[in-house]
Amino acid sequence: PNVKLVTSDNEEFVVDFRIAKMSVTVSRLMEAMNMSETDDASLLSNSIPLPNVTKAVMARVIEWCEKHKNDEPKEEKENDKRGRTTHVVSDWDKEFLKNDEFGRLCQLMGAANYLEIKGLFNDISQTIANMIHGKKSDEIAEMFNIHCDLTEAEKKEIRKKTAWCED
Amino acid sequence: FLRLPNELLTKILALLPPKDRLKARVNKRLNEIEAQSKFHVKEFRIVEIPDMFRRLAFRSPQDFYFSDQNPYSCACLRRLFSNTSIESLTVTLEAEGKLGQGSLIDKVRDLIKEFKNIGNLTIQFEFFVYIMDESFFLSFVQSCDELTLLGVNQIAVEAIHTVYKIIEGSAKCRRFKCDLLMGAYYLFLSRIGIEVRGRYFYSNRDDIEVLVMVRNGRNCCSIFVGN
Repeated sequence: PNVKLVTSDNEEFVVDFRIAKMSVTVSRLMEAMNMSETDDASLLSNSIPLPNVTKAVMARVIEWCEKHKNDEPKEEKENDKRGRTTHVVSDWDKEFLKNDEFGRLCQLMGAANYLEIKGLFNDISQTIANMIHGKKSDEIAEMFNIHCDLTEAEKKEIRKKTAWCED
Repeated sequence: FLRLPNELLTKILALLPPKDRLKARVNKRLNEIEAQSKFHVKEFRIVEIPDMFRRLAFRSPQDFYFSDQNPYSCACLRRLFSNTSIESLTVTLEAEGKLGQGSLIDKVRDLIKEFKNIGNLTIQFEFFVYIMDESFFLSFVQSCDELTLLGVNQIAVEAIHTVYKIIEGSAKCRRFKCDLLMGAYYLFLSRIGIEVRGRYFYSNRDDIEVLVMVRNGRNCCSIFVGN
C-alpha cells in the first residue's frame, strides 16, 4: 500500500507504507488520521501534509529511506576511546551525504529532525561533527563562513579559560 | 551552519570531544549555546607533566595536560567541569610526589566536590607514594561512584579501614579499588571479619560474602556487603 505525502511547495510524493512509517512524525499523523495499512480507502482518500519540508529535501529523505527500509533496528555504538557518543556513519551514507552541499545538508538535518527519522538524523549530525573535529577555531569559522562577533573581552575570557584547547 | 536552530547546533556540539567543542565557539551565538548546555563525555584524562618534560612529552590531542608553568590550567578545568559530566575520569600524576595543598590532585578534588559530576575516578600515580591517612580519599568517595587507585606503593591499613566504613555507610562511592601489600591486605580483611586460612577466605559475618579471584597469579578479593 502507498501513502501520499505533500511537501511545503505542494509536491505530492507517493511512497510505500513501510517508508512512511520510518518517520515517527508521519506515523503519528497517519494514526491521528485513522490511516492503516489494511485499509486502502483510508490511504487513498488522505494525504499527509509536511509543511516543513521542501520537495528537493523530501526527495533526498525518501532516497535515504529506500536504502534503509530493511535495516534491523540497531543499537547505537556509544563507545569511543575519547569519550564521544559516536554514531558510525556507514560508507553508503557517507557517499550519499557527499552529494549534498553544506546548506542542503543542514536542510536535510532539519527535515530529519522534524520527521523524526533517527538514523538519518544521526548520520547527518555525526557527519557535520566530523567536519569540525580536529580543526582550529579560525578554520571552523572559515569553513562555515562565520563572522566572529565576539567582543575583545569575550575573546579574552575564552582564551583565558580554555587555553589548553590551543595547545 | 548558523541557519540551524540552537537545538540542532547543541546536538552537533554534543558529538564533539570537549576540546573540539570548546574550539567551536567561534561567535557569540555558539559561545552562548555551548555555555548554556550540559554535555556528557565517556572518558577524559588529566595528565600532569613535570615542567622539565613539557616540551618532550607525547601528547594525545584530546587529553588535558597540566603543568606548573601554565597558570590557566585550573580555570580551564573549572570551565570544563561546569557544564560537562564525565563518566570516567583518569588523573595521572607524574610530577614528584606532591599531594599537599595546591597540588593538581588537590585542585581536582575541589572541582569534583563542587560539581559532583564524575562517575568513575581513576587516580594513577607515577611515583612512589605512601598514603598515611584517609583524609586523602574522603572527598573523593563522597563525590564519585567508583574510585580506583593505581600505582600506590603503600596505604596505611587504618586509612583503608576508615574508607571502608564510610563506603559501607552513606558515601556516594560504591566501589573502591586499590593494590595492597599482602600483609596489609590480610590485616585489613581481619579487621572487617574475614579470615584467611591457607588459600581460603572465611567470612565471620552474616552480611559479607567474599569472592576471590586469582588474576595474574595474584589474589584479587572482592567483598560484597549486604545482599
